[in-house]
Amino acid sequence: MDDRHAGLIPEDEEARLAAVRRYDVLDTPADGTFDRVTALAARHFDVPISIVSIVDTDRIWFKSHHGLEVQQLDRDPGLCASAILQDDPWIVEDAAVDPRTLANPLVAGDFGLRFYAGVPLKTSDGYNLGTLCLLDHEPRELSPQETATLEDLAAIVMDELELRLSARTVVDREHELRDHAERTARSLQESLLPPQLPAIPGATVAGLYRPADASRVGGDFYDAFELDDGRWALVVGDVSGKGAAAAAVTALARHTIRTATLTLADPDRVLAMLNRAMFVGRTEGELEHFCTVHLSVLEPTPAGMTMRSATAGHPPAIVARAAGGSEAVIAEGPPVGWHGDARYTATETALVAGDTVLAYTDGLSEARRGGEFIGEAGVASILEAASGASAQQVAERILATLSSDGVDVRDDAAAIVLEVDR
Amino acid sequence: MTPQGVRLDEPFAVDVSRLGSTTSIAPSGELDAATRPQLQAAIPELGPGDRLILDLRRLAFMDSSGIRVVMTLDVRSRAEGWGLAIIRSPGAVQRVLDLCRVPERVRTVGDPVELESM
Repeated sequence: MDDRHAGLIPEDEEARLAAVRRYDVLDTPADGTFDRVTALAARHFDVPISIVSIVDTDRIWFKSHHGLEVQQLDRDPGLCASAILQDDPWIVEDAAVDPRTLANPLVAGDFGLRFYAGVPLKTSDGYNLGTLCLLDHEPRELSPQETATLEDLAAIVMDELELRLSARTVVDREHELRDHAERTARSLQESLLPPQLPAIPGATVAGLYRPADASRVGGDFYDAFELDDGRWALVVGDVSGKGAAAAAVTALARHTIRTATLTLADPDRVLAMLNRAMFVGRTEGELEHFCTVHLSVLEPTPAGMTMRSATAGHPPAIVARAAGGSEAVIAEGPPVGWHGDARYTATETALVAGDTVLAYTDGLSEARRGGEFIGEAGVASILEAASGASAQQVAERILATLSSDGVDVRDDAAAIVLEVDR
Repeated sequence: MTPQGVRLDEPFAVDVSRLGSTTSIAPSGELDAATRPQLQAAIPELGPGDRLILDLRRLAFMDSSGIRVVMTLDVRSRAEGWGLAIIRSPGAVQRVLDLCRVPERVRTVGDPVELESM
């Protein structure tokens, strides 16, 4: 700050400049609202020049400048820079004889300013950002009524600045909330999916998860884990609802399935136990969260693997055969969490080298392609078309299908793919 | 649980009829997340001794939303003491119900005549 600014710096200058930054108006393009106010002021008061000024650190920048070509001036004493030091209008009726303005370049120089009337633009929290001012080359007087009109016009300018600030604040806040929701949803979701699928001897596995809405935790999940007798379990599930409540049920389902599969050999018994766990502490007569599940237990055999599967209201898994063609793994059973008498049955499928298993949630089969549901048959054709591809490539193809043009995915989709080594 | 090749152009509609204490609800077209509220809105308040028949014969397609409706009605009917029956649908819709073992939980018949003994 050089000497020219001596006596021009308000005590609250740092906070005032923070307010100037907050309104985010400096160096923005001219716009109609402020230009209309300065044009109106010039016409009403019959002066050649009217300005909406913002006093920055070492310059006075003009948001609107009617009748004056320049965009900004130095922060020199006597005019706007002085006007913001007080809350009342700053009126100089004849600058040529007024000691407050004699030194100002606009008064002393060729410009020949004689009249200045500025009303501070005061923020709701009390900082003067700049002024709405009138300038003339002739000396003038301003009546109390005229001063009041100028104050009203300054209030209109300030209202507009406040309105823009609050609109921006709302938008910023919304972005912030959305970012926060997406971050929370992502971390919660990640906690519900295995960070890395295990390496299953004799097979490769890949999982995929695609939320319909990144800001909400979905209820879809998948899992793969080793049992202590050399067998493996594959799980795909879909818990009704979204958000934190659904996430809690997803966690319950995933952990119950893990624990139960370690102690109970059969997938149908695991689902029956999960169903009982869902009813612990639950209100009668209300359908709360329910869950569809596919659970397969895989056991290596000399020829490949034996897969025992049970499902709870879940779309049948699909097995694409190395020799060509595909089949659905049908195992009937009600969704978990519907009623206490649920009965599940396991079905056994022999897998040989090169066979691929896809277990998925209905977000995939109920996605629409060109207005038509992809359907179980559509999922089967994606899998068959990927013949010879690795589990990871199949998962990528499914994700690519869901992300392609003309495909409308309305629900979360999750899947797990297993390919028996060739 | 969705057959391929189902066109989504037939508008969804719900036909409701009432005879004595029996209300019959017959959805037609495709039942999915978008049309489910329309079906649920058509279901009246019921009390002990009432009976609701969900007639699925004219339903061309249903996704998991349909199962959700059936489960909700089953839980409600047991809690509120009214009867629930389903008139089965041929083909894909019934396959979804069978996969979820609905007939083991909710009385399911092929012909409304069978319900006269209910």
